[in-house]
Amino acid sequence: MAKARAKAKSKRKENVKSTKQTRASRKSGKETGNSLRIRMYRIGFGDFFLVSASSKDGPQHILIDCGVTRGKTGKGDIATLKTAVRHMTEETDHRLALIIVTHRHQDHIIGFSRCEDGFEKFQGRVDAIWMSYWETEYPQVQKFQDELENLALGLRAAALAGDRDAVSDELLGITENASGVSPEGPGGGTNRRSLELLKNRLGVKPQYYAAGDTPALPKGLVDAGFSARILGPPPATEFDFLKLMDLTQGVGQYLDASGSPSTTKTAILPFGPEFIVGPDAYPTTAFREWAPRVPGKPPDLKERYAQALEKAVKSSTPNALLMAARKLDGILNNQSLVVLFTWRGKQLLFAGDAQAGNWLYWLYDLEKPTKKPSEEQLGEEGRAILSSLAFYKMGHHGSTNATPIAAVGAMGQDFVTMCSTQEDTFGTVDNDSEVPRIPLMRALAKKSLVIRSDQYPARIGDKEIPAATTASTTREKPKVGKLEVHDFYVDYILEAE
Amino acid sequence: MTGKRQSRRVETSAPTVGEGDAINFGTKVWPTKPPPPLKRPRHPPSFRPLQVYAFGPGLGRTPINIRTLLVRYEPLAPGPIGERIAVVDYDSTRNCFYDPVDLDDPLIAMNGGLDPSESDPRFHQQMVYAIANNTLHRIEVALGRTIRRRTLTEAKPLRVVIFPHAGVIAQSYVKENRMVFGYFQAGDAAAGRTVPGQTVFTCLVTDAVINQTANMIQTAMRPDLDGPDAAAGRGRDTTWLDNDAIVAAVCDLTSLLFHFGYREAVLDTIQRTAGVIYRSQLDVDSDSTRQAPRIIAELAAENPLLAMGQDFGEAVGQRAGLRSALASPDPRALEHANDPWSRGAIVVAAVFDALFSIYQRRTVDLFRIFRAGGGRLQGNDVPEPLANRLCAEVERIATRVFNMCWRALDYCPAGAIELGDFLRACITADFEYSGDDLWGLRDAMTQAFRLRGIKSSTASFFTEDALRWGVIDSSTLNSRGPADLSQDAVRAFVMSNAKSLGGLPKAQLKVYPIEQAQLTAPDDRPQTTYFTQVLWKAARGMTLVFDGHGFLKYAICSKGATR
Repeated sequence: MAKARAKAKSKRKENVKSTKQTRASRKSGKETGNSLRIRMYRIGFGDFFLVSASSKDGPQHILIDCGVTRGKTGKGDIATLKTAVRHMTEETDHRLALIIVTHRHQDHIIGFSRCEDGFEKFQGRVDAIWMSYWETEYPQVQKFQDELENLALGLRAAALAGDRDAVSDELLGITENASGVSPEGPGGGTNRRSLELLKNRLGVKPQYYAAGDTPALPKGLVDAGFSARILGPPPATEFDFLKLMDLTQGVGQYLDASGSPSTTKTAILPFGPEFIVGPDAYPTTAFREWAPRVPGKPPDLKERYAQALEKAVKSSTPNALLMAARKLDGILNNQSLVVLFTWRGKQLLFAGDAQAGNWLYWLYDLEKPTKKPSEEQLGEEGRAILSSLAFYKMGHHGSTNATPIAAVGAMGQDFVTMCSTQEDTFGTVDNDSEVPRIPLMRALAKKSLVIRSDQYPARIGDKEIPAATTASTTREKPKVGKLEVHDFYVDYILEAE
Repeated sequence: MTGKRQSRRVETSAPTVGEGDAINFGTKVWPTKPPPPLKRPRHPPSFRPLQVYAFGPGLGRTPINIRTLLVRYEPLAPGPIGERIAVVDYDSTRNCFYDPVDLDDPLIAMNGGLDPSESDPRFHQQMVYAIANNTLHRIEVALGRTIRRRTLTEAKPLRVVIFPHAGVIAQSYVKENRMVFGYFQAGDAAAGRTVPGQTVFTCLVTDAVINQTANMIQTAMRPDLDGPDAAAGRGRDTTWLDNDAIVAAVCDLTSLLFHFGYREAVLDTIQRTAGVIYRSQLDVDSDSTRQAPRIIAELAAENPLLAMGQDFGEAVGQRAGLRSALASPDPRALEHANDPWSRGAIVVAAVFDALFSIYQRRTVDLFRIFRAGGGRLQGNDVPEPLANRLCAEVERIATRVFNMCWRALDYCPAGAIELGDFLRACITADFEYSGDDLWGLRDAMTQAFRLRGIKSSTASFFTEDALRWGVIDSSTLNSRGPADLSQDAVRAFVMSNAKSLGGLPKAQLKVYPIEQAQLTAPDDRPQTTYFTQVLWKAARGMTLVFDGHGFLKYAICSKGATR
């Protein structure tokens, strides 16, 4: 009994401490008029950022994305999203000056439907919502997005139909992120429902932007000292639609013939029944590659290892689906809204999950983006932006294909990079595909202070989430501004000069 | 004067059959039973003739589209299943096997295999076996060795399993030792001779089979060029972009250069282009003056020598082949090429630019002689002797280019490489084999690559001597070569000469099994060369080339590989 009382007392103390911290952080927003706070919530593999500054009408908050995904390994979702959203709603008092949804991947938007009850209370209390051009209601664009989603669902069904291995796990991770459908995982919500809430139920119609558009900032943010530029996505061209047609054509027929949902409906019977035979029609040597091997002895070719052969052929085909899924992932990532905020002379770059094609459109002066240009070819404007950054929200959770090498080279010094990520969700160190990519983190660490969301242990109630094993344990301080580490979020606070 | 005449017995009647088994011819006895069979050893034939589509089923049974390949003979089980190539017709979509063809069946063998047919899967099995076998043979002749599948621990004989109808998928690809071909229905956008809704078999597209065979061979002989994460598909870190581009280029070059080994197709193209075989369109066969064609003979056709995978390309909505051998030289095109296939296509175009430049140079005198003799080339009037001469010339040039491109893979650096490294490897490989370049092919290659903006970041100048890899100065080494050509001895040799070889980092060295190539140079000089690759990181390493005595001749690194 005494132990139980002591435990309850300790828990109450923790809750009070957490509340005090929340109040303190709210206070800091109200009382310090000349500071900007960028909060990165630790939700796992996903983005959930809250940018706050003061104005004469009170604190102004910008919410940039709210999502998480389990990923290939299932470890991406650390089950803190709902707590983080609750915290954010209390922090902002259900009022947001601006919501930015960079693109429709699960790890950027699932929070809106997963925490639907909380977000519905923001109805009528959001001044503006910004989305990528690819979320407009134009029929052609909507059809494009619907086809992408159908493709993702079809690929997912095909992956579920086969045996589970590393390839099908990655396929499932990518397609769940693209479609937002994950019945096995915790939480619920779908991408579609998130978009529906954002577009129809918050009391304000979203504005859709592409690179070069002039965004309409709410007055409160202008008073707080903000201005904004849209750097991505590149304007839509017919090439984007052709890419999707190629993708659908290549994959759709496979899905249809194997019984998965797809857009094509014709069954293919390549040969007459007189040609169909069983494995007995083949000599045993046809199956020699799948005969069990004993060192020092020749393979046993007395049997036909038909099942092993069938499995090998079936396991070959998902690779084509994986390539299609990666292309689909790239298409969605490149739809990311890339926003450059300026607050009292300080430049803050939020790059969403933009990959090469998106970046290179605004970074280089060439007519068409290039894959591997040298740093000398950076445009003047791109160079000017990168060399004077005060803050960089790392693209795509630190993956290698989202921050061009030349861009890192052109960045200035002494700024802060925040990377919202969770190790061991996608890729592996062994094949140089880990996310976040360690060489990229090191390169950025030479120019900035890199803060990973998973580099600190997190605590919610009794639950403790350990820090990432691949994160640096050196706890530096930023050269400009200060860092505050809390139980499940990290704040970077900048003062105006 | 009379003497006694010698009497001579004359046979005046037919010989009679006596008792027993002999016919009595008087002094001679003939047996009536057939003689017992002679006990001679049976020598198998060297080649097995097998019919295939030269290009694909889209061109139908036109004379140039049905070809009989002479495939290296080996006893085959139904499949066909051979020593190195096995065709197993399993369909993963329908979950069934298809009837295997028995090419050793006397009735099939005496016909040169089954007749071409789209509806009989056994012909498809025959075709993929024939083309894969033929491609493998041709590449082994070029490289001077039997292809082995190399890993860091062993080199095993290459064994391939081909699935001609693996499932409904509009592509073909290679995974480990499996070559997978899909089939699909042509969509509404299908163009040319492919009808929408028609089932298209990728295993019947000759270029696709050659392409995948070349892909598999490259992966087997140079696994270091594949890099990590290759099994999960390309489209990854840009470090490997040019590796993927070079692999794609060599695969495409193999498919396209095989066209020039098919005499009937080359002769037909010569006739229909008046000898200008690099024209993209062929003249029509008929004399119709109508503008709108009414019959097949009046249709203008793509030059089949230059288009790759035409059936496949038309089936997916392109009005041409998947890729083409030629493209206009544009030095800025490389800057806009973001994926391996676009970059590979530029390399292919550069190589063909060189090939056709040499063809033009070497045949201009033939045309001059013909015109000087009063001949005029009008439409389809290339005289047969001239056509034969032109055909022989282009075949000779294509063979040399083919050999150069494949041998260049042995001279490419290890790990991650650039397009310029491939050019340097081509120049070096051809120099090592041919010595003097009387045709000017190496210069033509250099200029063609230059025109397309493909430069080498490791060469000081754009001349042949600067582009050739530098020969090692053996006086700087502790010994001229390793103690023997084993992996351990090569590792020890490299570590003991680390400084001389460019300053290798202190890291665990991984050495691939050593390959031996034996060729006969044009001057009948036998050439023995040994190749291997040494890696210290996935993307960093060097290729070592040893001469016939085991002395180190080249240590080829890519940019940034050494200090």
